[in-house]
Amino acid sequence: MISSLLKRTSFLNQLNRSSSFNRNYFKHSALVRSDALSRHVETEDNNEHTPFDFTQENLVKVEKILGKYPKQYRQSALLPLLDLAQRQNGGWISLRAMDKVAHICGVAPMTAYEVASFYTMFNRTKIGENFVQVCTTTPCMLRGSGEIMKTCKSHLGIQVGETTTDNKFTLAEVECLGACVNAPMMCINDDFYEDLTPATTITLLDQIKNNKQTKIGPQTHRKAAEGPQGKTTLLEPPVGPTCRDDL
Amino acid sequence: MIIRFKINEIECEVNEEKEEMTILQACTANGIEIPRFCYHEKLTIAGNCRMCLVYVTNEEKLLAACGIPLDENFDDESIETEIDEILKAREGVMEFLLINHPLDCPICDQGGECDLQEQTLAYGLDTGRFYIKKRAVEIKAFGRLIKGIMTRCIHCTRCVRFLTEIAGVNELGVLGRGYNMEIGTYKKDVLIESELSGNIIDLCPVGALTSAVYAYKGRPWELKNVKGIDIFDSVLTPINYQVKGGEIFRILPRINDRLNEEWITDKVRFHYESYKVIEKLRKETPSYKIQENKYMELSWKTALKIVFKVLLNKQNKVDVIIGSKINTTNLRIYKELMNRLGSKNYITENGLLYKKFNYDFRENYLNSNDLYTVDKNDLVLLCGVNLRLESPLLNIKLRNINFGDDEIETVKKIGIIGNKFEWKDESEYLGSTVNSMLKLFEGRLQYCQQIKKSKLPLVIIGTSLLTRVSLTIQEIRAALTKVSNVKPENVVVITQGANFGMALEEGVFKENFSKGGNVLYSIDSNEFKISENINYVIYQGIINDTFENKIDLYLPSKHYFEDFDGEREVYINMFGQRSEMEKLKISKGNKIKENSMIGYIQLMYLNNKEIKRKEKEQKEMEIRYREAPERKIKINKNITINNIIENYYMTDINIRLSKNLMITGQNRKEKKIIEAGIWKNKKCI
Amino acid sequence: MLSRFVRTGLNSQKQEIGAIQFGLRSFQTSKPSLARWEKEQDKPPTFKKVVDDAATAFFMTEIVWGLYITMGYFFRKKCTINYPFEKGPLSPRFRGEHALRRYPTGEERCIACKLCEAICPAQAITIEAEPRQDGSRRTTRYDIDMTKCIYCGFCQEACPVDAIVEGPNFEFTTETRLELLYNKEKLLANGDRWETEIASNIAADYLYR
Repeated sequence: MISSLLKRTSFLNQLNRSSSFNRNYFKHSALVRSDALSRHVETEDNNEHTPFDFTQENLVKVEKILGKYPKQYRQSALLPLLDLAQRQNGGWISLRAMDKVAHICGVAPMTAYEVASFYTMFNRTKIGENFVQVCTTTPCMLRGSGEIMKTCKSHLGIQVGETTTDNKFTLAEVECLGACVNAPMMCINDDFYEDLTPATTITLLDQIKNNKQTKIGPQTHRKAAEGPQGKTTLLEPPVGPTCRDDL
Repeated sequence: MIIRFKINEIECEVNEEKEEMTILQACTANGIEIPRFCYHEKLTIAGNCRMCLVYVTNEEKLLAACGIPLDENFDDESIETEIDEILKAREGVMEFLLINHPLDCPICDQGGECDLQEQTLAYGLDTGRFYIKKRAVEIKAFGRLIKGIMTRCIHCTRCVRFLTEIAGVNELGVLGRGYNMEIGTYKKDVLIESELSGNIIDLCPVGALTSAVYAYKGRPWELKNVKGIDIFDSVLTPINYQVKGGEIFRILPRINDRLNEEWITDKVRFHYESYKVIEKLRKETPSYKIQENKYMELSWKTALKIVFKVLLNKQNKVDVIIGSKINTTNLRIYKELMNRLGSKNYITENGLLYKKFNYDFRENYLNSNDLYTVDKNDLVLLCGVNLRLESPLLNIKLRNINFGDDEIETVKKIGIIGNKFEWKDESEYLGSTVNSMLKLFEGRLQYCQQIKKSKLPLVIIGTSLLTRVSLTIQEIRAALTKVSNVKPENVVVITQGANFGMALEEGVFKENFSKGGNVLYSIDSNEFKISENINYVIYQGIINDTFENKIDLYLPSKHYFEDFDGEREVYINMFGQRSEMEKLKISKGNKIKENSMIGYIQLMYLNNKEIKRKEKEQKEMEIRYREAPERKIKINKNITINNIIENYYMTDINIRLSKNLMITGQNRKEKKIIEAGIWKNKKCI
Repeated sequence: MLSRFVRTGLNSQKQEIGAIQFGLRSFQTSKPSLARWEKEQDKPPTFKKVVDDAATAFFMTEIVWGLYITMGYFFRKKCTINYPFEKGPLSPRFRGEHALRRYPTGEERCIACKLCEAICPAQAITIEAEPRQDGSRRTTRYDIDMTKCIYCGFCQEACPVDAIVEGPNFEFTTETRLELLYNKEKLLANGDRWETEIASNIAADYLYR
């Protein structure tokens, strides 16, 4: 009797296993490097003793940013200052840099850590000179961003979240960057490269590697996000100020 | 405007001008329970758990009851908390919370008092629909006192809010986002450097933050509550000893809105560890020193005979020092005993600290202002007090003062004389010597103008000032009222020691005590240095670690919470409020006697008849503010006012003997990165 | 002829007393009706009944029938067993002596959750716990007072890790009461001794738990 029961249970187990296998379809995408870990990782480049201070020109910018906010609300400057620190530090923000920004804003260092770890555009670990972010959200995916990703991986010889050995590139997979009209796209440092094909991706990466001039925007003949018939509306030049003077 | 609305068909009224109420508060006031995780009465509202959703007519979506104030929009509306839609919403929230919550309730210390457990039972779904792997977060060590098993965390952020807002340390934060969100310290191995850090254990609705000292020891359902008082502080926080089978398992706060709200200090929360050590170390019978480090056991009868020989010998001058934890009955007994013996050389341990104390007037050592209305004060002056160490619970009260909306004004509303210590940004440091204090009295500091401007200033005077200057509080008060419009009741004295107010009330104090005699009779008192004149020491108490080798006669007595004449004992705190303590029995030795019993026996010897036990009713203390008697004062102006407490975790024998508190104190002192508990590296959970 | 007579007599008896009296009345909740007996009283005894009763008494048919049954059992197979040497079958759910089990690695299962202690209606279980050297949650004391225990099996049902079980052993009489105060060592030793039986019982009952 026991043996028959055991048989039945093993059968049930099998059933369970197969069903759970079927059900286990939730898979999260590869972790992006910037928010890979929600805590500080002690490395040689980034530890408590790594010095950081704003350069003279950046200190002027800091004053300008702080000037935008009332004195008692200077913690509002946290985000732009963190961004400034990241730009100065080569695309990533070190522990000391966050402490410095927190000190300038008059908040606890913890607040700066919280903010920097929340926003994915802050890199809290060291990255290469060029930060390649390939968009893989639905419109880009439908237009073949998988191919682009594959090309990047094979051409650079790295996986997502890794840096090349010559410290030139770091590859990241990101969510929508807002250029769906020109999908597929990727963002290298501050520049968008749109309407990509595997071939144009390779040429682009090579140009950047050799410090050559690149064409920013669509890599086809199209201008901005125009359709095949060219511009049909908004033909007159834009009127009025485009931006506030102090920005 | 009076808002009338219905909650579950119950008609309610809220006067908007008089009281600001949220939906949740209104529901609670009308006896309707709304489940919540992130909301806590004493913390700011976060509204991130979404458990408290309610339905309001004419609202498109369900509202989070914890964060929505009742205003005129709610007039004639009805709020529903038990309809199907709400029940379903709660089930949904519970289901999401449980996706990543581990099923380790059997080994979790929160089991049995866990909000998540209880609310899952009451509001949750009985099945789960998620078959993905649960996420795991690494175990974090926040020091020796708190265990952080962060996989269990549901991100209610109560701990973060408590530490930043109330305790005033910014060591915890919410890191990352979404799936990667964690509560943590960002940097590895950061200590939570607060004297109140233990309270996050109570706040945590799940088992993410648990007590490391209580780890795996007990379950809430098997523990019995015994009412006690925190005697390491002169606030006398009400606490509960949780006891099982003659052992203290843990100590939790009792809620008292006027005194401690819901918090207690780490000192009292974790000190119970020492009782086991003391039980092991102390001797059960009286002992007598024959040679260095050689003791002979005695019977109580012979021991007390020796005591009498020594005390009644007319050549001996006897100094009596009574411990700070002593209760009112014992104070009275020993005072009577000493009076019968003709000795007037008695003092409490804390009295030794002070230079001059005019205890003829009650307002010199008691306060009528218990800082409950501290938020009405618009300026605070701290004179020679490190409030964070001397009374952490009063410190958090001051920390929460709202100085109004005029933040643009660059006036610093807190002035500090004496110890520099961490405080809000708006504090101004006025100097460290007595001289700057005197300047203030004479109105020569710039800050004086601000004191004059403010409408309701508060002055807090600490022990470190009173130990350096031979001024009485009355005189300081008089000087301050001349300079500014400080009301006399707003000059608050922070005294040290649990029953110090009562000791002064009974007159157990003597000026210039250190010039005393040659025999020392110490009743449960450790914290002082023995002067060189003394050649015979009688120690009556638990155990001693400061002058252990010098003791000639040792009489074992019980712990302060067993040391009762009856079932209850009374203490008076520094606000003149009476607090009661229930008797707790954990001592195993039968031969150990209560201090009161020893006192009674001694009195019997003296009288040759039995003493009737007097029970004095302790009435409410009335504090009147009178003018100080005039006298000539000489003050040394150049004395710096230093801390009297060097290490917060070394002030009492019970604390020195609790291992985890000791190590915490050492770590904080040396700013050393923690050598965390055994659960840090090893895979055990 | 005789046997036929006896049988008919018995049949009538069986019908009347067996079916009606014992069969129905044993399940009746209302007051039993006595109508049948009243009727009997009303009727004068018939000739047939007088003869039948006389014949039953005269030929001692009841004794003969009783002896017949006795002889039948006399030659049938025995249902008693020779106890200490032979034992009857036990259900996998049988609740006997307690045991604390281990994992196949030798690690004790009990994690000191104290649920058994909480649920025990006789309050026979006492547990004390502490973090073990490696940081895991284990008991330092696990006592069962077997004289208090009522063998309800709640502890077994409450246990989340199948550590405390009531094994198939029912022969644990002792000479003194003191020996019935089991401690952790004794319980673990029990577990080690009975592990195969306990494991097979749990496996057999798996589907119904």
